[in-house]
Amino acid sequence: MKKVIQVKTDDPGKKKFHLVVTGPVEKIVDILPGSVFLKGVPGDTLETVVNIIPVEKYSFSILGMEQKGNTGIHLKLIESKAGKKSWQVKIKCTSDKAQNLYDIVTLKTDSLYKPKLIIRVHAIFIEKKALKS
Amino acid sequence: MNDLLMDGLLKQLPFVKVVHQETIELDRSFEQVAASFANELLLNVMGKKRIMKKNITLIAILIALFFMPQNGLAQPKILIDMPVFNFELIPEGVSIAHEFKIKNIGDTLLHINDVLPP
Repeated sequence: MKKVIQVKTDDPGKKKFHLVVTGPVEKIVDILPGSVFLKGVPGDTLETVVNIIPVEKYSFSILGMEQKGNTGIHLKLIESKAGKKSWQVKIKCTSDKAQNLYDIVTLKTDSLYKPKLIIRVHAIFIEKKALKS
Repeated sequence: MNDLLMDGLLKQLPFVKVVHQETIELDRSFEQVAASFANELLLNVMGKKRIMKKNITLIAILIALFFMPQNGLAQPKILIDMPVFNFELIPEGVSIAHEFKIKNIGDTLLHINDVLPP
């Protein structure tokens, strides 16, 4: 990881300079995919699954799930029972009309490093005619 | 009487004439010396005044240069020992803190006008 901070001063020899913070950062979880983007026509059911796999070294559990409030997006958290500790979030989106749905899903964990995991969900329902053109 | 005698002598003895003339000239030169001495004394006094005036002016300029910073001369100058902070391996989600030390080695106040985060 490398972050660069720009500093502006009135020193005529150094009106602008950079401070750098850099170093290795280790992953503690894999979230696949990191954000969800679904597209369909009104009346369709758009579905996908997000896999959450904690890195063994930093193992944690998911305690719960929160949704900001879009009624068109339905979520289900499933814990894997076989092998490695992992979770799945099943996402279903439905709409009878052309519209855009957006929600932020927050997963609460018992991890010291990441007590919250965030998944962004976009679902776009477009009329068939608009899709063809 | 003396003048007549002197004239006669001067006519007859050119040597005396010369001596007499020289004596007169000496008298004149004494006056001239006195006058020139007085002149020199006056000039010296005036000269000293002039030198003192020059010295005072020079000191005033030096004081002004020392105490009154001018735009062309006095300016801030940044010194940063370590502009890069290299941290050890950390797991994601951990926050780290670091202080960058910025020193001003210039001769006027340094202003940090803006800090733009990444």
